Amino acid sequence: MTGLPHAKHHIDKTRRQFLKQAGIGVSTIVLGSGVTLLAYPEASARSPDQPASSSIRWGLLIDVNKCTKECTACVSACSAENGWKLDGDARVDAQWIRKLEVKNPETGYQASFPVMCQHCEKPACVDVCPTGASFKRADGIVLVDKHTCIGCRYCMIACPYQARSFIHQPLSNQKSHAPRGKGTVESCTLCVHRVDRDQQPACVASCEKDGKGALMFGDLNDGESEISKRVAKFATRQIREDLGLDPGVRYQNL
Amino acid sequence: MTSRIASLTRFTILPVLMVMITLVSGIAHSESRVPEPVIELPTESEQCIRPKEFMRRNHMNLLKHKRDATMRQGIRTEDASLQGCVDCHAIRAADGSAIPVNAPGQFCSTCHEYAAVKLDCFECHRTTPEQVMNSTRLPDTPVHDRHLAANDAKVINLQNYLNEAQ
Repeated sequence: MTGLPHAKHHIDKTRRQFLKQAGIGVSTIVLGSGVTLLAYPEASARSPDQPASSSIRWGLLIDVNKCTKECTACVSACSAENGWKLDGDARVDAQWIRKLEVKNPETGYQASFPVMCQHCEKPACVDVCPTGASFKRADGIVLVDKHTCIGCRYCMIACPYQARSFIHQPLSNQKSHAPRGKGTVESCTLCVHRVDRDQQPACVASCEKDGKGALMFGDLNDGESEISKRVAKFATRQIREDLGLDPGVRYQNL
Repeated sequence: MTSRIASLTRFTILPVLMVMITLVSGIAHSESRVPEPVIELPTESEQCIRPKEFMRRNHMNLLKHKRDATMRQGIRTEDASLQGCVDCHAIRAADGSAIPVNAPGQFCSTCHEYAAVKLDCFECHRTTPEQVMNSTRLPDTPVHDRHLAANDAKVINLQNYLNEAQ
């Protein structure tokens, strides 16, 4: 009688061991395919024929401590990706993204960080737009529909972040994924063409590659995303949070 | 009352109509004062996304529908995208460079000039095909795998490796 339970126990043990090993095998395969997915950017979370989902809220987290004054990788990447150039005239220059330097006169604390369209939950630019050209996409990205923009520039006045600019000159040779033209208002699109292909915005990708890794992009609604975890763990701020616009861009250590 | 309307129809409206019909048919039969446009078709592909007759009447509707779907909802299918039109219909010059589709005598402008319809697309949109996106310049790590890709160096190395292997 004693032999049988022992044998059973033995069998169970080997069986468990086998399952364990099999489990490792599966996870390796999963990891393997994950690496393959990472290597080939064709893999997409949303198929191209599906509309943007309101279950997602895209956001940015900018770690001000990591960002340095000298580094402008994000600005250069945005310019290269979307095909805008600065003419050196602050009155009319494009405002897709710019580095801002702040100083607390009392303590002498200085910081430098990028400011772009803050992709507000309640965007003032959308409220004031007389034609509906300024709009917020289901996934929280605030855009200008240049097909209906009449160039009145109300949104530029309404935006507390001065994140919008007007195109004064005729353009040619635009990027095919970022149409821009005279007489319309433009701003950061959160690289919507890249986001729709399941890639990060150009500023985030370049900050990771050439910069200091200060920018993070992700879904604020997804509790499992890295950005949600960071936002939940660390104190973050929105610029001019007193206005109640609830920007999707958050700043850490500011 | 009825007879008055009947006589009005008989003596006023009908003659006017007859004159108009004669005039219109006369114009239709006569030689056009403006020569019909000769369109240069793309050499690299044989078939448009829809039949020629449909496209001539409806390309603007396709584009408008697609424009709203892409702009407002982020639907980015290849069918009826303006970029697709330009990629096919911009003809290469002798030196290999693409000629803008809205340049005089090119695919879009030829018909639009004939029909006297202003072409607004290219105030903003690019008029020549663009080279393949600069995917090698930036690491294109999929967003939904961000939590897996904490070790991006490995990913980039793998990409380099694959590039070298090719």
